[in-house]
Amino acid sequence: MNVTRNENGHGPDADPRVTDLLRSHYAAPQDETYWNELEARVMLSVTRGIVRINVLRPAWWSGFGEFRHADIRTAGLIAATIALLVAGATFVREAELDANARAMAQRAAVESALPLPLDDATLTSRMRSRLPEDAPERYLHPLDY
Amino acid sequence: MGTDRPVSAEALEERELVLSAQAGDHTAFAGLVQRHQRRAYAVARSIVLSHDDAEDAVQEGFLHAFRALERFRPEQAFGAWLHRIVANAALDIARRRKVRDADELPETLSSPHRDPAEAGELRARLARALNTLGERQRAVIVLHDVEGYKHAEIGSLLGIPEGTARSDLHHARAHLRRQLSNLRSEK
Repeated sequence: MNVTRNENGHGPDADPRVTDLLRSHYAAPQDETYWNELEARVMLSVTRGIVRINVLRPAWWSGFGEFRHADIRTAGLIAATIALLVAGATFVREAELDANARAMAQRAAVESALPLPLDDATLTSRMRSRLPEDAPERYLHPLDY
Repeated sequence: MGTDRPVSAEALEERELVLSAQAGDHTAFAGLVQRHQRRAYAVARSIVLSHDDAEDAVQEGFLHAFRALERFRPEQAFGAWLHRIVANAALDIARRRKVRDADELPETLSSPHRDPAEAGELRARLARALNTLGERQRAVIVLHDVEGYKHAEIGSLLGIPEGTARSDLHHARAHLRRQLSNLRSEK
């Protein structure tokens, strides 16, 4: 089985004695039963590999078979639990929305009762032109103060 | 690699095996294992340091090949494809082994798998000399001088340029010649 296609390991820089030693050291087992056993082990690992893959990745339809044989009461219980969870989630969500709306309404009421604060628009040139002539210097150049 | 060469009966038979294995025939894959396991072992053994690791690499290589079989194009050479996979598995094992128990390498090397009667001073010295070679250089000299691979094939197997395989072989030979320089005078 040792198919030699190069210069048979005896090139100009090769020591034939070292080459022979290497061949003796690395020679594959000659016993035929060894190779039969190795083949059997390889095929076993291949088969095991397939089984493992199938266990890890069950077919997508395999769940339906289990569902068909499942106790109808268990299925009903699961459905009821899911419905309860959905209803609970919806209730919590709506309560949150209501609370937000109430808070926004309260804030709007408070803000409408207060005078408008001096905002950025006061500082623009457009607004500055509407200031009276005798406006304090700090109104005209607020960043300098 | 010439495409004009007539296809041998053996190659046709192998192609049939590959096609059947791709169709899910385990017996056909077993036939491929039977055909290629010796060569696969030789490739693995040239890269790893022990017989047991070589066996593991062969098993892993065939398993990877089986899983990737549907991606293999039957017009390719199955042997070259498989041996590349086995070489990668062996390189992976060698890397893991290097990290795990680098200190045990001399013992592993000097305990070959078969025929304890052959174990002697000469073999032990060769083992020590091989252990002082770099992993890649050792693989290259074994693949070339023991298994008869050409430089380009070695390059393809180990994922290195052909020129690197050629230079590794030169250096590995020179190193072993130096390490075992007094063989002639002794024996």
